[in-house]
Amino acid sequence: MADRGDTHYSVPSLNLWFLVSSVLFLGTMVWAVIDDWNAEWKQYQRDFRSMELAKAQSARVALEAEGAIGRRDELSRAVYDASIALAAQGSALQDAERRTYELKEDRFKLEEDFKKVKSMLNWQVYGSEKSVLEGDKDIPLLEATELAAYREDVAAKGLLFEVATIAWEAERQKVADMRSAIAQAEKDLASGTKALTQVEERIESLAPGDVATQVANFIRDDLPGLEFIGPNLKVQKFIPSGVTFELNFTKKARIDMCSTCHMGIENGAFAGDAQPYAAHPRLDLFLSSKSPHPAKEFGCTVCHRGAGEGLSFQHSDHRPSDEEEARIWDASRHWHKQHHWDYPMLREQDVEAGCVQCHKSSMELIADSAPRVTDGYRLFEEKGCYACHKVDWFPTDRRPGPALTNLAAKLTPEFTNAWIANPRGFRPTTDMPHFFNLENWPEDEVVVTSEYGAGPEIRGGEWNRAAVASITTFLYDRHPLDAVEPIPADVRAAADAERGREVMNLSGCFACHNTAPFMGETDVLPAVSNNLTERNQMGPNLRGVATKLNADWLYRWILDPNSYWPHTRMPDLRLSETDAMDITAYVFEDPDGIFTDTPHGWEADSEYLSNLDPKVLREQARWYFQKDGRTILESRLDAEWSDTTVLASKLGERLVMTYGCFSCHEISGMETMMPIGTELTSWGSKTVDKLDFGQHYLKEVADLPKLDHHYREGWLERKLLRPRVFDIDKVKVPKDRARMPWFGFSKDEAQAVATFVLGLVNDEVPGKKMEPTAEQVVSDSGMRAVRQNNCMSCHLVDNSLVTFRNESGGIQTVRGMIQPLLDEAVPPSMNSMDAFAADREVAEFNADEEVEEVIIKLLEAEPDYGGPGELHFLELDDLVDVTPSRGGSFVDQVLEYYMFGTSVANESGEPVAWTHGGADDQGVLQIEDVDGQVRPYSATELDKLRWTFAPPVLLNEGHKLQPDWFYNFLASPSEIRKQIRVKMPTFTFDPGEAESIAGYFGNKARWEWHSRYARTLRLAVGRQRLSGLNDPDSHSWNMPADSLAWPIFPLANITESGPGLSAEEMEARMSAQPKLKLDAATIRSIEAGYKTDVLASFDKLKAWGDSQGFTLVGPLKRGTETLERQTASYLDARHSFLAVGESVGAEGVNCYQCHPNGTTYVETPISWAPSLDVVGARLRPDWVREWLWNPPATYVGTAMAVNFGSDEPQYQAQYPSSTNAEQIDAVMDWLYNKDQREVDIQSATIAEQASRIEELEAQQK
Amino acid sequence: MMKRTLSLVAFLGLAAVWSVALGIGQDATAAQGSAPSGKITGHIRFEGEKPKVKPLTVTAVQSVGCCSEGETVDDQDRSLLIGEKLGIANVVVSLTVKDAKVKVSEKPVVYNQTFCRFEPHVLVVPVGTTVSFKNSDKCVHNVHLYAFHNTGFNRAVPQGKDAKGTFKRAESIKVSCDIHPWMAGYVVVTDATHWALTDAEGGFSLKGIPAGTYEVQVWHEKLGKAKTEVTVKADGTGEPIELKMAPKKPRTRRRK
Repeated sequence: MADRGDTHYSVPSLNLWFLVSSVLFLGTMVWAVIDDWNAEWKQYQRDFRSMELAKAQSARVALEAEGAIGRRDELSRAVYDASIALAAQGSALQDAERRTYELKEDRFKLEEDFKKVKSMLNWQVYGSEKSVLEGDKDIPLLEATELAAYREDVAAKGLLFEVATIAWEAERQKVADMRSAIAQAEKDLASGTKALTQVEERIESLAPGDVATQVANFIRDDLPGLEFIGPNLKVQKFIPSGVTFELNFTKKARIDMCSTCHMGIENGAFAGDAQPYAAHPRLDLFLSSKSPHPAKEFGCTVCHRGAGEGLSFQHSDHRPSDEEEARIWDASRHWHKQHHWDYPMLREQDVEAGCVQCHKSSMELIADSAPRVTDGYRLFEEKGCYACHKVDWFPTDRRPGPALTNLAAKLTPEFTNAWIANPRGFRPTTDMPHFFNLENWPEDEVVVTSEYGAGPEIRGGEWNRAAVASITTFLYDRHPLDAVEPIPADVRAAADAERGREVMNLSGCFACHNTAPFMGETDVLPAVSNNLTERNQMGPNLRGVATKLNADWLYRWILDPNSYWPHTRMPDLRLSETDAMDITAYVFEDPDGIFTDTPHGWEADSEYLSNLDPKVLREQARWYFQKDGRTILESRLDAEWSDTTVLASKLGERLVMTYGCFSCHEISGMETMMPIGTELTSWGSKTVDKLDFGQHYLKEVADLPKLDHHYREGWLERKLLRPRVFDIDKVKVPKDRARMPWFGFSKDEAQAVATFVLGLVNDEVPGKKMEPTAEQVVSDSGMRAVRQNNCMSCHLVDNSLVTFRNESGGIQTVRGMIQPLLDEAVPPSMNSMDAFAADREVAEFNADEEVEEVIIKLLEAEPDYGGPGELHFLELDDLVDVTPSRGGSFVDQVLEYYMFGTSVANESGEPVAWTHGGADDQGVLQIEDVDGQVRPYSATELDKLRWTFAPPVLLNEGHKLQPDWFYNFLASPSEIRKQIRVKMPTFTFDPGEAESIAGYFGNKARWEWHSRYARTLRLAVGRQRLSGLNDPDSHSWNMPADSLAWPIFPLANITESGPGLSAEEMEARMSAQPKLKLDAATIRSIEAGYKTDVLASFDKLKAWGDSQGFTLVGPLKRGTETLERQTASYLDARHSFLAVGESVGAEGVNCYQCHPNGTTYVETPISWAPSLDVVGARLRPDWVREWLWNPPATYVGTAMAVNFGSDEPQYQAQYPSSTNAEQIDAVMDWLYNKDQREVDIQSATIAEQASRIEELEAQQK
Repeated sequence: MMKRTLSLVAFLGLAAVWSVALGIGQDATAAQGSAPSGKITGHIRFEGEKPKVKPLTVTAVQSVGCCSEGETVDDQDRSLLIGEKLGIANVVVSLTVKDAKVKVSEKPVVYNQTFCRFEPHVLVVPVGTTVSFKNSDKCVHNVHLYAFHNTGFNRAVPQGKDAKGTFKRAESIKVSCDIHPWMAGYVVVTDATHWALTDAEGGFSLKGIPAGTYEVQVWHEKLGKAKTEVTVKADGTGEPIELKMAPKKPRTRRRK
């Protein structure tokens, strides 16, 4: 266009600009289109599609290999054949169909006729009645004959209609019959080729065969510029409701587009594939719709954090696990830290931090699924972090350290001073952290120049020594000696240190304490208590305690720990004065050199008062009392504080407040002070710019790698490992230096605590907070109480596991234990495969023979293998893994003592087996029993020792105990098994704790019941039963229907051992009842306790079990219950059986031979069994019934015999013509009403006496 | 009177041990068909001083009602019987001849309980045997098996009744009764082809063994295991075995 000259601008140059900008815009647009076409995520989605295709194709190949194609051909041929056969009938089908149609038409007409006359009749009847009632003359009254005619007409038309219907239906059936063969063939084809059809449809949708669809797909997905219209490749997102995060002071809803790239995240078929296509590793817990955290409701970033709306690797803020991975990512994908996003994705190892925000009230419940963060949570509690750092929801506020109010009675100031300065110098495993002599107070660094810069320089070492001595001075000043009551002279005179050793070994001290040698030092005998287990590190290591304590204090402490420290975790073992004295004597006489052994270089600081250098103290006062003002302070220093001890005490008080000692220890006058640490309630939401990373974060410091990126985790881990590290190379006045003490965390511990603290975030999940059920609340606090009181040191709560390769090459895990190898007396360790291998080598050396075979004794019902107590033989090479039992590590220590004694050094320094009772003349070790007698035990069978002298197992305890009794027992333990020397302690429970422990065991039994039921069912079905109970028609494993119907544990009366049914056989049996059909995989899944399948399918399994006459104790019902055995009406009906039951029990079975009768005990303690007097209050009847049928099926190895299991019922003399079941019933009537039986006997005796007196009187007359 | 009864009981007991041991030894021998005539004899003796044996601790409460009137329970400790020349009784001596067959009794072999003791004290049976644990006393016993390679059991057996168990694997199974804790016996399930139980003087003889060199296994409930080699010459003779067994050292701590 030419320039017309009538514009103020030059058109040609405008055109030029227009051209240039158009080209630029066009270019930009093309760029945008191409960039969008080539987006990172689209490439992933294309790859994902081809992976899906490959999987579908390989699935088709697999199906083909199975013969699916041939099957389809066969089925199709059957359809074809059927159609040919049909066609062969010529026009018969068409004729029949046509006739059906005609008949239907006829029928329809007749139906209409019928309806018409029927409604006519109705109308006439209505009109007549109305006119009669209302006197309406408009409608003429019908004659009776007319009405009858109408009725006849209706009946006739009705008959015609009925006949037509029958004719039509007959013809229709004829058609159906003719078509039945082809209909069946078509149905078979559809069901027989379902899998194949699905796969083929999938392949067709992913890679369509026809060209038109291919072209359409190309345009939709691959044609730049047009692919946005209706693409297959598109952004995927989850928008969970009620889940927010804080963005610039507002709450923003989370939108998670992660699955745009992580396409296979919900698809189990992609398990283990490469990222980003892999499925989530725990679909049972996350994402899937049946899991507790469905993707639609939770999304991704609520747990993982990161930028949910980011659509590239970089923008979604992926996090490398460590700096090494960061460098790799940087090189391969230009990864760099996102500085402008406050919530970077959690590292893989920290991901459990995401659990905390919702699971505050259920941390114990998630322990198995989230081990690292629960470790951190528990360390946070055990190390007492919560005492200084407030976390508003933390479930405990107990002071973790001992009360110092009675300090002077227990420790000397010399010990205390050295301890404060260097706790680990005395006890390397202590939880008490180091406050002094850390890296921000170097020994020789000048801390201050005294007298306001005018005096001499004071160095770190002097400063610290004076500070520690001041604290010691203050503590003893504040808590003067409240004299300990001395040990009575007669008790002291009878002290027996050697006996004390046995008391200590057997009472339970070493369930919580150990005496392991210091690191790097050689084992000092004896060894029993040196066995370090997870559980015996609960209390302090007792090595060296004789050098810090005094005998009077120890004696009183053992007798009553709470009187010294009301909140101690140390329970009262209810030991006698003799026992307490003997332990005290053992500790202070220390024949084994344990309790006087201290680490190299340790000594109490006898000269600590000389550390109170007035020059340093006065300078410290100037810093710590700065606020009082210089004039006042100086005059005070010259007057009332001129005395060094007075000044030291004042300073000590200030230092105790500064370092927060009172947070962990009770100190008089400081009970209500606020903790000094930073509140951590929402520390994980704190942005990194608020953290001081110090001078050396980006450099390497000793033992710590350099960190290139500023993240919260790195800061935390560093702080936990080296709490003062951020002070290095900074000039700080004494008061401002970091005060957090050093705990000596291992790297693993520090990382676990860091993970937990990272999880403490602002509440962002108002709509998704886990609201635990009442049951979960009880279990959570019960589990916490069980942990805090170390119950599982003595009590086994879950059986050990053996994992092995089975005959078909699969990996199988069963609840079982390994039998002793070769000629060993005790089974090999199952703590780990290494420990097992070590024991195996010892056994091979001792027997001079190779272990080739491992024998597994099954401890519970294991379908495919056998029932409790049965054996499974395994080649050594097929053993894959061993898992120790949960709880009960102290059991091993007790058994080892009975079998091997303690090893102590003899005169020539060699280890010899030792017990207080010595050895009998055949070299068998003798142990002192509760009655004071010594008896030989070391040759006794392990099973007998285990079930007689070791703490009881708590397997399925919820089904065993009545909750009321359980609660009362915990609150105040009573004697049940007189012979056990290990004491069930009296714990000082917080309100609610004992109830929650009882509740937890009840819930545990309930949760485990489904799996137990399913496993036992499959094992029991199909086995040979006792002949009296083997009635195939009624499936009656129970008693005959007319007797008292109590459930019987099926394994109890099954005489055959073996693997039971296979899951496939059971599937086949179940399919006989179509409504109760389950496939083998689901059966196995329920057996494994997989929650989803239990919820979905257990009812069917149970219904089938019922139909087979199968019963199993449980599930536990909630709430209080009236036990049937103790109701008045039941007792009335069964009163006469009390005497029969007593006769069967006491004379037939001989119960009192092993169980105490009242207070009388039989003479050999090996047979001492629990008292029968508490059965009625203590045990649940259904459990007792199961137990009486077959005790070893409940507790493998128990000393209780099978008394009622014989094919031909015994005890006929006591209970003529009775069955086993009737005998058990009678014995239970007696056991549950023993008190009533005693009343009966008494009144019978009185009646007898009365009648005799009458007789005599009569004779006299 | 009491003494006489006891010694009579002891004699009967020994005689029974003998006869059962011989009987079963013969069974095994008979199974050889055209039997080789080789024979191994010998003695197992105790090394060291003969220990004094005390009677078992039998308590009145526990033994009440076990025997008929006028009889008493047997309180002889048979766990280590040593003869005058230090021969040890109740030692199981066994060896395996390749390809030799062992006849397993079809009927259950009876292991009796009488006078509150197991009869015989040691019962040797081949693998696969069913043992009937019979109670011939007047009171209830419970048969408690401590088996490691077989599925054990613990069943009450009233007077006159029995409990049966079949043993598929070789091992020495201790049998006891918890009601009468002094009662103890052993069922030795062996996979050897030839075995014998030593007599009161520690003597034994194994018959029907073809010429060759064999490893002889020896087992005693208290003294443990031992083995030695023996050669049967072509004429069926061989050097008699003279083996000494010493008391086992007391168990010591096995592992840390």
